[in-house]
Amino acid sequence: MNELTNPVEVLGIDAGGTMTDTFFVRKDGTFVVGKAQSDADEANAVLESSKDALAHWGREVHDVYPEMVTCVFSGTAMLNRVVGRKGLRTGLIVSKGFEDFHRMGRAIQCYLGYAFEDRLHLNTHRYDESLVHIHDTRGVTERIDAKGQVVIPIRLHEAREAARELIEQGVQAIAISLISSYLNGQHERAVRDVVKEVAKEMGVDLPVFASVDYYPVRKESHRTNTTILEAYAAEPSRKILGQLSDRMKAEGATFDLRVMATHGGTIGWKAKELARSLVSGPIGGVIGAKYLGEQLGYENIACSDIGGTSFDMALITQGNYSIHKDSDMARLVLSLPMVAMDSIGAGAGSFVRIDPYSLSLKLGPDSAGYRVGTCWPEGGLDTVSVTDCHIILGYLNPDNFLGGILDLDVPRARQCIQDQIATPLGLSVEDAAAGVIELLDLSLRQHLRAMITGKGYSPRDFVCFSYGGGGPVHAYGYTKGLGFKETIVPAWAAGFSAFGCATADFEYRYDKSVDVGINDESSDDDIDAACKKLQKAWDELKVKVLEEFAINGFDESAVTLKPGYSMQYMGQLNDLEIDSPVSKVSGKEDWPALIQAFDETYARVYADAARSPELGFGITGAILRGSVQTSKPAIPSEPDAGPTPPENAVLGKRKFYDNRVWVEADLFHMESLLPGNNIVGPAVIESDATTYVVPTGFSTFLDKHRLFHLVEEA
Amino acid sequence: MTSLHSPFGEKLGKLLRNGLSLDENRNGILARSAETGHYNGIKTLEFKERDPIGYERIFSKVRAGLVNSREVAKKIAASPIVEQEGELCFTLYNVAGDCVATSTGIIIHVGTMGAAIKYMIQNNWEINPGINDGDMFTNNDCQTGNVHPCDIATIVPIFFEGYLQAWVGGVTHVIDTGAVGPGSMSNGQIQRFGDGLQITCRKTGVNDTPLRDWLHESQRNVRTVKYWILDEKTRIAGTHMIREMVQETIAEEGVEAWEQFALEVIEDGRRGLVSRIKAMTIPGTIKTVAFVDVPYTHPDVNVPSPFAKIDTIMHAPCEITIKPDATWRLDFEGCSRWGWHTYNANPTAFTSGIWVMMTQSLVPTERINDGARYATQFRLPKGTWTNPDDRRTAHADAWHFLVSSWSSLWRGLSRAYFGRGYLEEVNSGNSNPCNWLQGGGINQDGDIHAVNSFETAACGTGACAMKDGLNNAAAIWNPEGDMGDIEIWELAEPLLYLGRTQKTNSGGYGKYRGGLGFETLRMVWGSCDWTMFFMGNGYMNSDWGLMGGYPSATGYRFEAHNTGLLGEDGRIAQGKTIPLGEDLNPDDREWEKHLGPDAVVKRDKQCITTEAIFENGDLYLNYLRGGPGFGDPLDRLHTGRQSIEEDLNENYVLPEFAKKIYGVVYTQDAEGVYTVDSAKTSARQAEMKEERKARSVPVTEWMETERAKILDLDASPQVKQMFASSFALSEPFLNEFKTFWDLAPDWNLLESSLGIPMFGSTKTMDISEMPDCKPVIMTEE
Amino acid sequence: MSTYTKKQVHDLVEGTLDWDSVHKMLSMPKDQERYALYMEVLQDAVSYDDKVLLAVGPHLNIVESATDGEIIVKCDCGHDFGDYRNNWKLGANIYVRDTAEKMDEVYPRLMSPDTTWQVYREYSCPSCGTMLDIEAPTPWYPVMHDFKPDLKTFFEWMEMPAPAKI
Repeated sequence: MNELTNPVEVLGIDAGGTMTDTFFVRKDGTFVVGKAQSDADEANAVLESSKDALAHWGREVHDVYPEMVTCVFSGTAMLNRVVGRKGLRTGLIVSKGFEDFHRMGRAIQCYLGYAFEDRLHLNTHRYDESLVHIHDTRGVTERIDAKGQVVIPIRLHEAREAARELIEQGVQAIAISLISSYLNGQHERAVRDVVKEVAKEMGVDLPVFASVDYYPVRKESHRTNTTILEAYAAEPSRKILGQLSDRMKAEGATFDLRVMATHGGTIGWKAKELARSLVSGPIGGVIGAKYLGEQLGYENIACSDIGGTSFDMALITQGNYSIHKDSDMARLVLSLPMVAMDSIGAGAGSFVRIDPYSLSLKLGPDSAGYRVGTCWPEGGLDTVSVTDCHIILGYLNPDNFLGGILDLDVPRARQCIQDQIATPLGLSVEDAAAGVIELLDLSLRQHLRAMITGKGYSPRDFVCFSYGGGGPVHAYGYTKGLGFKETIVPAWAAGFSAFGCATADFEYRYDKSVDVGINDESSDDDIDAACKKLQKAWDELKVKVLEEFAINGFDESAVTLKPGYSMQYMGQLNDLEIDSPVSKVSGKEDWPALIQAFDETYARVYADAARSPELGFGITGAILRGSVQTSKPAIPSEPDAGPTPPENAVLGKRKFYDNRVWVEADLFHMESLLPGNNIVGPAVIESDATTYVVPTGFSTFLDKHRLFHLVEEA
Repeated sequence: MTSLHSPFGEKLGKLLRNGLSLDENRNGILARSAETGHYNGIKTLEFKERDPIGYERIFSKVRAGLVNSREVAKKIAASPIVEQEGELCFTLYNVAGDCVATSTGIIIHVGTMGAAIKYMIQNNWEINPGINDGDMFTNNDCQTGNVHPCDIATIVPIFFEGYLQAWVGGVTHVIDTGAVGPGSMSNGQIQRFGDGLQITCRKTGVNDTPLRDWLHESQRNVRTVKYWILDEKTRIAGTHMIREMVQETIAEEGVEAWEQFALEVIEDGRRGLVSRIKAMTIPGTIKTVAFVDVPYTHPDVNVPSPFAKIDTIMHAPCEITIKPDATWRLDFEGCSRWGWHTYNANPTAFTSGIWVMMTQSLVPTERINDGARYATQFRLPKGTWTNPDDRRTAHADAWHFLVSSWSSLWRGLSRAYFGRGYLEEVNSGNSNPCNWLQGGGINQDGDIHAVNSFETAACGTGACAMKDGLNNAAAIWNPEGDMGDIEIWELAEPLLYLGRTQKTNSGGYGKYRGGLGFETLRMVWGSCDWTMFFMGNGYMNSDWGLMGGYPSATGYRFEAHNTGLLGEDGRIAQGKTIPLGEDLNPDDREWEKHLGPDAVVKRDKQCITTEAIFENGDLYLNYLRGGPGFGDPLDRLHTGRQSIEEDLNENYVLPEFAKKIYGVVYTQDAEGVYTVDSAKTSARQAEMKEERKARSVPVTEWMETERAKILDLDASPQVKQMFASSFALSEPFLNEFKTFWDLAPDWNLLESSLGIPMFGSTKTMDISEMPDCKPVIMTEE
Repeated sequence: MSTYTKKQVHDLVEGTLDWDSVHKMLSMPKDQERYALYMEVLQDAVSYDDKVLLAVGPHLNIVESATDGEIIVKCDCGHDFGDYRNNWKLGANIYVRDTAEKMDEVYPRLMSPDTTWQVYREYSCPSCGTMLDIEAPTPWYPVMHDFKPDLKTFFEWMEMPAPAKI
């Protein structure tokens, strides 16, 4: 195929702190990856990286960009801005008497993201600097109660005064968040308008963010943090993305630059709720897995991504991932809907120590990171890492580690393991190292299992996807005995997240808290009113969703809307998110369908015994997702070349410590293996970016989509 | 005498593979432990040494199972106390009722549920009512190890191949147990008989199903039925998940491995504590003491019996002896007598509760289990508030005394950390976490309701030896503190917030200051028939400050009635000023300036009250305390991080007191920003040191005057009552007192001489005197 | 096990150590060597020649007298509180806040203890006026003897030679 029949269609961008990766996909699914040093000017880095990638195809940026239809950006700049507290100086207007609540945090923020032992250990707790300083905060007299009724009418002259003072003090944006505005936005909107007026009078042009316009959901600390982020962190990104978009257009691009968002869809860079692109990296893999599932017919997928420092898991059930509503990032509680992922602080690079108090093995919580372990003297580490164990047991190839860019000192690693782990435990070096890996795999396996059973499923219902740099090394270990239908390792495991981003839908999601409760004392009219209230909320959200698409030039006809709702047994504090069984509720006749869908889900998640219909049912939230068709990368499809790997894929043999004995493992080169090839363990399949381990008792074959299937022999 | 034959035909000795009865089995373990100083006589950790990986594998499975089950079960609950504050905990026990491992959560229950299991063992539940696979037992009896009635435990035996292999317990802090006063930690009642529903290890379920008689009876005996139901479902779901996990683990690892592990892990835990004591502390003896006020003569304390209407003081001296072998002994000789209030604690609550605090500095590890208790000797003299010798005692707010006494232990241990150079571990003692906002009636939804606000979980923490305490961050009973979201509390309480603010000046001063508490002003709103009351310290504090730092501020009470805020001609509708936000300097009575002319305000130090009627529009201040300070305040930095200037600009201290305590000299600009003049401040501080010298006297000189006061019996009734009750219970304390003050050998102060009713001081009766009852005793008395 | 430099321990004592290092000190198992480094740092800080053995407060150390080898408690200013086995407080100066007026100097009245229940006892150095400890007991309460270290055993734990006169 030539450039005309096989054009480059999709670009995925992953702009990390150090490197900016680009991922170009052609119509037929073949792809190239490019790298460039990240740069203060992100547009530069992206173009450099694009050059690097397209060079593989001998093509130029300016003749490829015009033929592309989709480009998805994900980056860490916004997150770093928050973590480094280098955002826009933002003013905050709250209900009078509540000026302190933002800086008070929510105490949970002083140990968010801590390992268990630090969470117990009080003196480790610490508050980060608040996003908005108390001197840039003002209160306005008003109160709305928990039913949405006005208790203290707003005193707008105070808002006027507040706005003037804040602007005079030099804030560059103003966020507004009043208690209970999620139930009744009238006060907040009034303040918003006054603030805009004042700014106009003072002849300054500054962005104003009212929480009700963005995240009208319960829990003021979450909602306020998130609204502040729109000003503090997202506003600067908007400018940068604008520049990037312009530069791309200058290179002939006609596509709309989109950004990966926490809810799993992509949104236009002009989107109002840009703070949703705060974190996207780990999500990419989940989206990619979902997409593969759709293409290949897997409904239930357990996604597992193991990197150097963490193990991230997510579930796709009946083709959907679930959404976590009060997510937290950068030690801030937020109200961003986020693809639900469980993450544990144990990874392929975790440190291994003997706890001197209990004389037992301790993994992490800290990791060697880029410094690898004791096997890399230049890294300057003297504490053993999991990688060291892999190296001395022959899992990883010391001569081709990260494509051979590092010089590893295996004897040093052996000595360190001997001194630090083996001798204290009275084990041989091999058994000590193997024990470390066994315990790590066990803990990964338990978490993966817990996540699945915790949602009321059994691993038997699931296919497990294993990706990320470390995934394929551990795949056999953390899936062993769980009884997954299949375990799948994409041959492009390392670039899987970037791939995933490129497959994401162009989708907006809006949430709104609603409060309706129906129990056996409720009349038909109550039920009817409840249903209408839900529909009203959906109608409101619909306006917002369509607004967003309009910004990107899509009209209603192009948009597919998916309504959902959150429900609970009355009085509970947690709810479950349900995809609505009906696309529209007109009245009480729709109620039974709504509660049945919830009741069934609840029974599955928390066991039948926990069902409590006798308490009645409450709807706590309305959700609306809207999406439009986008072009996505095709999945490679190659002819079957039979079970025997080609000569050029065979790299010889290596000593490999397998179930407490040294064996000779066959070595293969991942990229050279062909569809149909079947490999029986013990074997190690290497590529520059990852290593795929197939021990005794396992075999694997590569399918025509370049997906490895790991098979555990009965 | 327990009959050895059960009406159901159960016989002793059928539950364990070794053929022993549960009681025989446990007694054997106790004997071997006492004899050797090692749990169950285990001198070498044979399993762990032979197969460290296999041993770790079991631990890891068990521990992960406990944590994950808690996370899932938690979501079933409706109570913010359980769901937002995490007041639930699951713990796994071996067949003897000793804790193997526990989940996250309120770790005090490691011991309390263990005590319940031991009670069932000692009293032969084995034959009546019988212990079978699928049974559930419920306990919240404070005479059977529980802290206070609102902690309800569901306990489930775990069988494998027909034999008992473990127990799992789950506990939640419920909002109401039907005590005389509404709320989970209410006061007003003064005896067990008004303290709420108490269930003694009752079999409440068979074949994994709760019994209907139990459901009906329990539900109609509490106010908040919905929470009660969902809390129980939470406990049941969690314990069953854990049972499944344990059975699976046994199947995978083998029965022998499990049985060996379940014993060895506790000796392992014992050694773990010993090695930490040796690594972090200094041998010797550390003496501490703590007090807290029980001001019951005030008219706003309404109790049913006249003999409870007295002012008393809780007295908790403690001698911590760290021995050469790095085990330790905590001796509470000299504690004051139990009383006619709800703050009594039983020994298990005390000894188990201590780990809640120790795991925050000495042993912050997931490996904590009953081994720690076996490495610790506790001595809690009989008859004291922490080991009552009478079965009538009330316990609903045992925490009022427990946390007060623990704060001093943290301060004491910090002396050892400081001496070792582990300055980062020092904590001046943490705050006394209160006020407890409680009340009840008919709420905004027309339901019978009770509330207990857990904003208390985010008080100020004590100063460290190298950093300030944290503002609004934790409670001594829960490092993972949280004040929760206002928009959640307003769903649970008919109380509209009029402000939530850091509490200026509430942290103790010092080179490093204690963390500030915070305050929330509430307006009763949307209720019908509503009462509220206060619960906390007011006339005294229980924390002290360390090595020159000041104690934190004490509490005070603010409530306002007939406020003139609501209604068409009310201040709100009229657009007049209204009380909002911070009560900056309570002595200025700022809020009173924004109330109607007929407002009735109570603003005083009476921080314990009983149910009072609150109408919609009435105000209630919930003031959560700050933490104590560390080091001479004159050593505090003038400018920069953690400085006097920061305190002024962040509104952490009132300028007036910054001058008095820190000697600060500052200027203030138009926008109100403070700038400290360091040179002038240093000069002023030099003067202050001279003033200190001038106004102080040699301690020996002062002792003469104080001695004279003692001889004249010159002290308030409550102070005399405290000493008299401690003297009556403790000869050693009396002698120590007389020796120190050089008093005549026959000097004494008798309770009978105080001229106040001292019911319970002469004749008492505890449960050991009840028919067919063998109480569990795990401490020296 | 992590180890730290004398500089880091010095900064810890000064309160200027970077948070990452402090967090590591908290999270990692304790470094046995800390005590020795700490003693060096404290020795550098004091004006006197006596050997610092144990810190009992920011300005108060148990030291081995340079002149006669006696083990005594000393204030940074050099004030000698005598034998370490006795309660140093008995050799200090005291100021007792036992009236509302005296408490008004510390906290707003509603935020300070009622002196009929509880008093503050401020112990300071007779020579330099440094605040060494504050007690908050009831009236009548004996002066607390906070800490009686078993130095002999301590030096065994530390695997160090103990001073002669312990």
